[in-house]
Amino acid sequence: MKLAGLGARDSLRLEAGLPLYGHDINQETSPVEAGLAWSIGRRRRETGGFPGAIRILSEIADGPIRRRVGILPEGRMPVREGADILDEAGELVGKVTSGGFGPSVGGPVAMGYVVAEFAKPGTVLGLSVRDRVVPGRVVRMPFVPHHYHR
Amino acid sequence: MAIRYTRDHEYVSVEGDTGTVGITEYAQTQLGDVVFVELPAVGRTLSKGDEAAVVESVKAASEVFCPVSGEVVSVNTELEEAPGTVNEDPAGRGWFLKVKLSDPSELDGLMSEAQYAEYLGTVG
Repeated sequence: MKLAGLGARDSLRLEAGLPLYGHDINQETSPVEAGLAWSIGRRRRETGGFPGAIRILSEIADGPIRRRVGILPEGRMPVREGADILDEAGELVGKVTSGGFGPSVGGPVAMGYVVAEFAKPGTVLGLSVRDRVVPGRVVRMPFVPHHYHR
Repeated sequence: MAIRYTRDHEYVSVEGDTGTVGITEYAQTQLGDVVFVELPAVGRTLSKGDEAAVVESVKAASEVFCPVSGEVVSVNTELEEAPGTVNEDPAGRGWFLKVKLSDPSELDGLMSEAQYAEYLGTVG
């Protein structure tokens, strides 16, 4: 093992598509919209009765309102946490919850939530940074294949 | 040629009525790997203290404030393709923009090389 700084840890987990608590998930996030429904076991799905069961089970059945997605911004400009995500008409459809430069990808990568109908890989979205909008594409995560043991 | 420094670690290197603006060696060390630089439009008029550029490293996005007032006469487009030049040679090939000084007396309010070195001793 070697020591690594927080910046290195953050870019690596982002490229691996892993949500960071307090940024990509918090107490208001459901595991379904966050793409973490695998963490709800079969017995719980069948019997319910756990904290958040009403919302979680209905989202499993009907789909969540918004979904966590990976986005590859075009060009070199990093798109960071807090950036608005727009549809082609310029309407607000989501927000970036973490993003930055992915050293292994060699360019900017971002993660955020979008209204479910915009969550399909390949969807082109606008990312609002400072006074301009850069195009980005919804992609499957991880951005870089995992090499860690699960 | 005189070089003057700001407390925000920008420099302006003056030749005639043109000032070349960039960030210092200390600034690039603090930022870490520079991955993107956003430069102003040529022809834009900046006042001292205006946001002139944005420099982004893996860690964060930081504003670069214009140390002097003037019109932007050129920008270092090389940084679009090779932002890492800011890390390699901040005082040379890693410059950001050149401004035509509208008020050279503003330079008097900035630090000399020796004053900046002393200032770095207090922030380090």
